[in-house]
Amino acid sequence: MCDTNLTLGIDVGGTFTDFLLLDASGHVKIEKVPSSEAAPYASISEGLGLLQIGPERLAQVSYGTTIATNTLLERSGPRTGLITTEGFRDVIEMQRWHRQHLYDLHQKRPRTLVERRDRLTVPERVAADGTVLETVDRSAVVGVVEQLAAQEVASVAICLINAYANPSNEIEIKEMINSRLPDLPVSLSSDICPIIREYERTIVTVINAYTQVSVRAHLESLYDDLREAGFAGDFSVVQSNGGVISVDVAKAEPVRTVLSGPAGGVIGASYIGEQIDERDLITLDMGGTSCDVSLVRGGQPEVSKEEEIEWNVPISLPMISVKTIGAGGGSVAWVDAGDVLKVGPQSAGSAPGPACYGRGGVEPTVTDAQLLLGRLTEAGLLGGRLRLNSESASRAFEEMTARMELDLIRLAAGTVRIANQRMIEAIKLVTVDRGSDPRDFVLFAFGGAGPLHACEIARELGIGRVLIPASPGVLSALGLGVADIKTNHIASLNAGFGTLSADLVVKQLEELERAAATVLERHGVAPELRAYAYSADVRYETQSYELSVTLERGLAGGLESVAEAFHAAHDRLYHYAMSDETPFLVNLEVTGIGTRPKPALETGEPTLTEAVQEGAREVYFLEAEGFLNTAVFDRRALSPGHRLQGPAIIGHFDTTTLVPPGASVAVDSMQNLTVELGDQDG
Amino acid sequence: MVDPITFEVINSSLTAICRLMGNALYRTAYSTIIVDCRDFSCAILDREGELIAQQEGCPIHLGTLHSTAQEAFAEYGIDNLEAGDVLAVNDPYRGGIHLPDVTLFAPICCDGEIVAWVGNRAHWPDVGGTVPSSLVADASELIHEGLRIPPIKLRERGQRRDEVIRLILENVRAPSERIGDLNAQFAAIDTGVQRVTELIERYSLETVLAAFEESRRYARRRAVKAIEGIPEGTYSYDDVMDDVGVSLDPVPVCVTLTVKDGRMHVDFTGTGAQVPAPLNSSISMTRGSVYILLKALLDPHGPSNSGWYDLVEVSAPSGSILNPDYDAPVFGGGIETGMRVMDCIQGALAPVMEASVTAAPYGTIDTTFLTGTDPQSGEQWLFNDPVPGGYGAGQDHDGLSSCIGLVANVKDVPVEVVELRYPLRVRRSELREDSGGAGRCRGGLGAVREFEILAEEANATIQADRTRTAPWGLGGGGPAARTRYSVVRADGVDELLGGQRGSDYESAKKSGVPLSKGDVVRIESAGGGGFGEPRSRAEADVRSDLENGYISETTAREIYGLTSDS
Repeated sequence: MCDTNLTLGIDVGGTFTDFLLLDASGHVKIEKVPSSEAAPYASISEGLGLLQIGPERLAQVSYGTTIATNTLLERSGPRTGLITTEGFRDVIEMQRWHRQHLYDLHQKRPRTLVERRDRLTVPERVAADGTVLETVDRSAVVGVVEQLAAQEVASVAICLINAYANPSNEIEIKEMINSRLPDLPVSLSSDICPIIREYERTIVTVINAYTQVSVRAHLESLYDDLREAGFAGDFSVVQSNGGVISVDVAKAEPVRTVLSGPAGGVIGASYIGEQIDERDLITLDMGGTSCDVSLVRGGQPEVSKEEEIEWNVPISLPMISVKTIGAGGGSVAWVDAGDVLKVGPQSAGSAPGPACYGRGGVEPTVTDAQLLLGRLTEAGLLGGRLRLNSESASRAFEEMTARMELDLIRLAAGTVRIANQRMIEAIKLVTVDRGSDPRDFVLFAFGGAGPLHACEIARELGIGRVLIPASPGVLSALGLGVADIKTNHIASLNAGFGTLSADLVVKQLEELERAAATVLERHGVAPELRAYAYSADVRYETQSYELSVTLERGLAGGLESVAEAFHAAHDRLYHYAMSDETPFLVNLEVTGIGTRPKPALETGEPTLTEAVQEGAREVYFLEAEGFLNTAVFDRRALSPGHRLQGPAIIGHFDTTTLVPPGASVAVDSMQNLTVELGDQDG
Repeated sequence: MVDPITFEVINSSLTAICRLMGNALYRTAYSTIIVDCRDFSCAILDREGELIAQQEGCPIHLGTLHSTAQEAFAEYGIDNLEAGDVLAVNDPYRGGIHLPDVTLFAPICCDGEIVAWVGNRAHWPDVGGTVPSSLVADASELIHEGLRIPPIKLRERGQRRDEVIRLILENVRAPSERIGDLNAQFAAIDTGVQRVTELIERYSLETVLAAFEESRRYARRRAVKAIEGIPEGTYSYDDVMDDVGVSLDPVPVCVTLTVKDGRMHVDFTGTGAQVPAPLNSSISMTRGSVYILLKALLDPHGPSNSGWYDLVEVSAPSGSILNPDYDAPVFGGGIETGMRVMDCIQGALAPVMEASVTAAPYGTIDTTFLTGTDPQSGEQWLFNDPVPGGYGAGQDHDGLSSCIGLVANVKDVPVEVVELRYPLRVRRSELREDSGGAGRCRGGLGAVREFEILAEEANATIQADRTRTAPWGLGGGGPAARTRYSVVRADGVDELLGGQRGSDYESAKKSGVPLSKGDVVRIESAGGGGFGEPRSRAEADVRSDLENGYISETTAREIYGLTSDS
């Protein structure tokens, strides 16, 4: 029998697998074990052992995996076929014609996912308005199917021109393949992502086909092992849109998980934010090699359909909008041909790691700089398991000091400033560039390096408050544990507001809602736990890029209020609106949400004691341009109600929080740290 | 003086600001050439009009924005400009490229003084002239190519000058679309002014200006280092424009390049006289073409600013196609003749920079306009298709296939967008088999594009080269397939529109070719040249090329020497 509401979030990372067990009273237990790619269940079984919990007791397991992401990035997927309309064999190879680097005559494009020999064409044609101009040439399909069989293709994608407007020809081909090769997985562009623009639709569909075999095998083996060990609860997989889906959906549409890596952290952040009444957050997840920045507005993570996983490899599905940059603790500082100091995007990663790890790294990194600035110490991290060596850090920077005519400390401080600047630019991209003022948000920092950089970044941006969660290292696993079920349904209308009636739009929305309800039903979501969000992608007719406008159920306010909201959004973003033009409605979208029970996190009684300082040391602060005598605290010794003043350093198990002068820190009842940055000179 | 760290911080902000301006522009513009093709650039310039930073826009714009700015500011008088003004200009003979490139500048002011500029340049699909698209194959003077805009204020102290804007719009085709493009350009300007002003507030004017200066010195230092790597000497190369449309005579393009004392002199003596056709490259454009290719060879990943241009002297005989006298038509001067300028420089430097150069790319942009008038609304429609082709192979890599020429970095208009917006059906868009030059490293492949006309009547206007001469190979590598245009009429007759077929040769520089419903226009773009002897290509690569249909069996056997049993 499983305990009611005992939920386990499992976040499989490249190095560690994080576990977070949450019970109905909001009590949290966390564990971390090394990941094992070869035997996924082995590390899970190890984690369950450490948590002292049998699989049979779990009501719910939410699983975050980067297997689809890695299959794609490493190009380790199986031989995959692609069927297109005759005349359009090379859409995926010709791409959009442009170059990644403007002036580089020797650049290469990312390796194509389907070799040209495996791209087969069929005579058929659909017009832009959905009319079938030419039915599928069935005898040609027979030949194509035989060829797929002969070439031992493991998975196949179908993407026909204008299939977004009418899927019938794609479906007919799929049925013919199914009847001859019933075991061959087939991905249809009209299923996966029925949007206009053939390259974008093709690439999403092909990624689905390309990642399907490995995702399917991985999930099946894991799920079987779990069931065998007695697990009888729900098993779900996190998607890039921040919601979870059943194993079956994940196996059929793995492309929905391709950018799910950073999603868990963002959901975790919005969940914690909700409980402490902070609904507008900029999340900053800085690890060893990269930093993910995203926005939570009104408690909801921002979603976009324009994220790219590699240069020119867009995933045009709704997903949490994350800006990832190559700035992490391991990012390398270097001097370029014009004698300018740069940081990243190259990273020393975890092997060999920063020079101060003493594992053979010789290049200076951000972590080395932090050590030289006294923000980290030789006692290191992970309770002393990872010791750091200052001498190696100095040596790594030495050569540069001569070339840049800067002393070691100024060079280290410069390295941190430049890394900060790159994160500041990323934050501006998700805020200012989208019409939001960063000063209206709280900076929510996590990951191994986030809390070390967050306060100085916040000050540069004029952000007044920084939040560090109780367990900054496993926030993702928490997010997985509390993620709702989410299903997106899109219909393309491509019509001007002048030619549309509110009734028609409402009818379409209802149809999409029914489709969403069916999926929620399949996930066993009780009707009272279902919720729906409605939106429309709108633009001026002759434009090509849409803005997403939130709709009310039943379109209360009519199309006029939608038009008004659109003009306002356009003005906010681009400094102008053309109020006398009738907008154009491209897509309608309904998101079905199956709310899952989310316990309030356990709270502690405020203490009446003072925070006990562990010691003091000299720490460099950018704004002071020098070292200050700084109080040092141990995170474990801080309890709800404790307050302390900057300059201070707080050492956590797997990260360090830097509190600049003039700032003050309070520990809330859920053990989160709130840093009020206050007056810079104060 | 700005410390190196603050410099890098400001420098990265400047590039980010240019990108933000670009986002505002393409996301709100109306023309597919701006929105989908991204034929525009956004930049920050210093008070003197020197380029400080640019987004990843069009290289052709990079080399000329500063010259446009400098001429415009000098002519208008910097004292006559103030905060809230927006200056427009499109004149190729005032430092620009061609008339469709409508360019806006707005000052950034501090205490009433102009301290910097933001600007953008966007290609309008039409600026008037005798045929839709403003690409007039038989133009003999600039005025045939459309409306010439001298430096003029479109906004004064924050107030739009609507009467001036109306004057412009009533002299171009599809004005209701053009206003959307202009609004987008204003949006980019507003974004830039706001962000640069904030940057100055954050870091102080003094620091930001010092960073501007340092950014130019920085680009220069990198260029100096790169030029030091080229052996001193004089290098030359002759190439050719295949014809000029109104005449089938070729025009020689000749370069003599001298590297001495850390400087370069690029001279085009020997180049043919200016022509009564839209292929003349104004001297500012010729300089721009030289900067693009030198940047690709010297410092492709360095900063995009004009700090190093003084290291390079460019000269061309006055009255030549590369330095025409005023009023010669110029539409294709940058995108066609400019491509040949770049081929010449690669050809000249190939003997001493083998690792940096490539064999010749497809060497043309294949500008293709399909236009018509909607019989119901009377509105004109203009579809512009720049066509990608093959890049030349390098000494250790195959050329890119189906990529847009170096002067631009435009994207395609997706097939599905074409079919939704224009009375056209795309029949084919694929790689062109056997079009890459053979070699140890194979040249990139060109493309085949076919458009069926669905309207009762339409017109084609085309401008392309490499129709007679082929993009050349290097080090024993073979030439690529040449450009060819044809039209299969509704009744089945296959007509050569441009290029060579047997002994027939037609110029691919034509305006207003009449088309009717059911006609299919076919464009076959050229590939890139090969590098190294074809017979030394790895057998596995030849087999893979054959299996993937990049080369034919005949080519595999006869040129690469593949035997069937091995």
